[in-house]
Amino acid sequence: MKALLKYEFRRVLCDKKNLYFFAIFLLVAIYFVNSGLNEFNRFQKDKAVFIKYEKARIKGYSNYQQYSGYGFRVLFEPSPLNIFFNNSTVLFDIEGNVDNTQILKIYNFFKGRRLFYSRGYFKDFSGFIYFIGSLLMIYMGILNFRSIDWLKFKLQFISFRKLFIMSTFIRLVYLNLFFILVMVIVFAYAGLNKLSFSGDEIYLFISFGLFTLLMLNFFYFVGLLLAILLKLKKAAFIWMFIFWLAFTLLVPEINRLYLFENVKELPPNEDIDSEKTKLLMQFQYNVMQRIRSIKDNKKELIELYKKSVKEYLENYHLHIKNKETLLSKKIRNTIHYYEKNTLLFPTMFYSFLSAEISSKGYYGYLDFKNHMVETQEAFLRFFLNKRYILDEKEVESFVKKDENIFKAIGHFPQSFWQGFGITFFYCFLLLAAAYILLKRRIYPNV
Amino acid sequence: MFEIKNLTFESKETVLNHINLGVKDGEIYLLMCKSERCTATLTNIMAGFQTVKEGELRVDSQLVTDKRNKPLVIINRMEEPMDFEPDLKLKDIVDFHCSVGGLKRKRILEMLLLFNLFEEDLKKKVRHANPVDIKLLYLSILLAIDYNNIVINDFIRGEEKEFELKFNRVLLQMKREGKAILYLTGDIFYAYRIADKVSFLKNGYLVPAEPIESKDLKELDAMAVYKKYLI
Repeated sequence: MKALLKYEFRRVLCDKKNLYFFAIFLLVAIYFVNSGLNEFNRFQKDKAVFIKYEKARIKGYSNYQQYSGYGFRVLFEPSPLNIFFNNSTVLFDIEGNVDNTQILKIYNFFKGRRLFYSRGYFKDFSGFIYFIGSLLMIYMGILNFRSIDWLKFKLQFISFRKLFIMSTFIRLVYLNLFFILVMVIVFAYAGLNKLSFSGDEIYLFISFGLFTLLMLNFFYFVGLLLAILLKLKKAAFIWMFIFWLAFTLLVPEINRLYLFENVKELPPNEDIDSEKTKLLMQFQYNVMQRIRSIKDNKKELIELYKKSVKEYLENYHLHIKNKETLLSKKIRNTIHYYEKNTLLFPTMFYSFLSAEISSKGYYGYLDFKNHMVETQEAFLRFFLNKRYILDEKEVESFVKKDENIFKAIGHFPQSFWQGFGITFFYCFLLLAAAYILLKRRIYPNV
Repeated sequence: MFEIKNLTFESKETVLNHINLGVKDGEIYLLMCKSERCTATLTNIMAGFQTVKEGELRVDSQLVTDKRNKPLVIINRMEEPMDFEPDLKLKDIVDFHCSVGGLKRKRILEMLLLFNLFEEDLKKKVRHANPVDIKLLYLSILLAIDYNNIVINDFIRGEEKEFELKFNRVLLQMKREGKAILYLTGDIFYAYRIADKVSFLKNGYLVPAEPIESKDLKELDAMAVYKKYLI
């Protein structure tokens, strides 16, 4: 055991070529985290500008009708964990607008420098470890058993089972230790840059790290099996690239296309918005009719306003809100369905997991949407109270503290352990297949 | 000393019919076969990588029942020794086999000395070492195994004369130490240089029924022997 540990240590970690690669890997990983930190700091500066601008904007409104029409913006602030995933997310920089048109507005706009903020896939820590880490692991898997001659030579000194298990796992342990070291270093680096993480966030990062290691091990076993299937010949390297590209790019993309086909079943936003507008218009028409019948009696008019506000909140608004709740439910079902699909393959689940842990995934979006619905309702009540019940003239801001900042949190997917279990099962299958096939190749009819 | 009794094997490419041969201690028995596949199959059978339809192996008069672990040193041809461990130092390979195989380092170094290789030469990495030195290192490791019986599959085929001379020197040393050596080859001329006894595999049968002694072989014309027993 000790001899094998030492031997594999030298094979994997004492080779200058490997050492250079590991050092560059670590540096690039730190670079991507640094890039995530820069983006985080840039966001904090943009957030300060946003808050200042929103405060100034309120002062410009001369009455509540104006304030109600234009409303205010709500900024989506990602979790600090996003520094590790800033380009592997579903959402980019998004914000919403709360006003009383009852139309929910969530958007990402490309104006000025914001055009250059999104950089595409894989250009972050999680993307880098996914893309290059998987390539390294599949390559290391292929190199584990060098040739049939090599194995036959070794088998004069050690039994097949011992050689297979020890050689496979000792190498894997060293590689896993390297990736754990990378993750610890980048996490500490973020900490050194004054970024603090809550207990939940640390737990999420550990969960992410755990699944990442398992997914990388999956690639190692794929490499191992490929090499054995191709009789440990050099052609395995060509197949390595084909499988690696298919697993890392093609499979998750096919799943996304499948999702795209599925979302067609969700109703178009325009349908929901027009139904909501219709209800609002109907309410406004009814109120106008009643106002016309009252003529100039101010006391009666105020009473009518109060009655209408009550009626709106208890009837029309509930219908409008219900439409949004129904849509949220449908979206949640679609996300849930997508989540289940991603369980089928480790790379699909990794993409899903990265986005969810970053807080900018599908569930992060739902949180934001629900927050917007609630804020919109609170703003509506605030407006109706100020304008029609209290009849205040001077515009007071709805935003007292940081109601216009939505602090997103990373999500631990419900299916995490299922995804972990399925990937573990795949690893086991690959390992068992590699063991049986290699044994058959060496001992064809023994 | 080891004996093969009534060995019968059949596959798509190779057939061996009722092979009987015995190699005594301090003897080099050369088994000639035109087909490389045939020698490779026989080596694999001896190593336990292939099972036979029929037959048995006796080592030092004891029947070997363990299919995979046989008390024989198997020295197979090495097509690409550079590919084995390119990133390790030769010294690491020695250390590993000493630990795992329970080999004596001193014994390996003694074997290396016979090939004019010194401890100093082991500091090189495999990828920077001379391919011949790597083959000799592997040979030294295998010969350091404390078994008296050795099966060699055409180790010198395609090698330079210098390599062959070094190899022959070690083979004779092994013979002097009392080891029983079965050498499988397709080279008739090598038989004249090294063998004590020679047999031939023709169409899966061992011919002649009794092996030819080296003194008798030297009186025969190589071409005539080749035509008689191999074509």
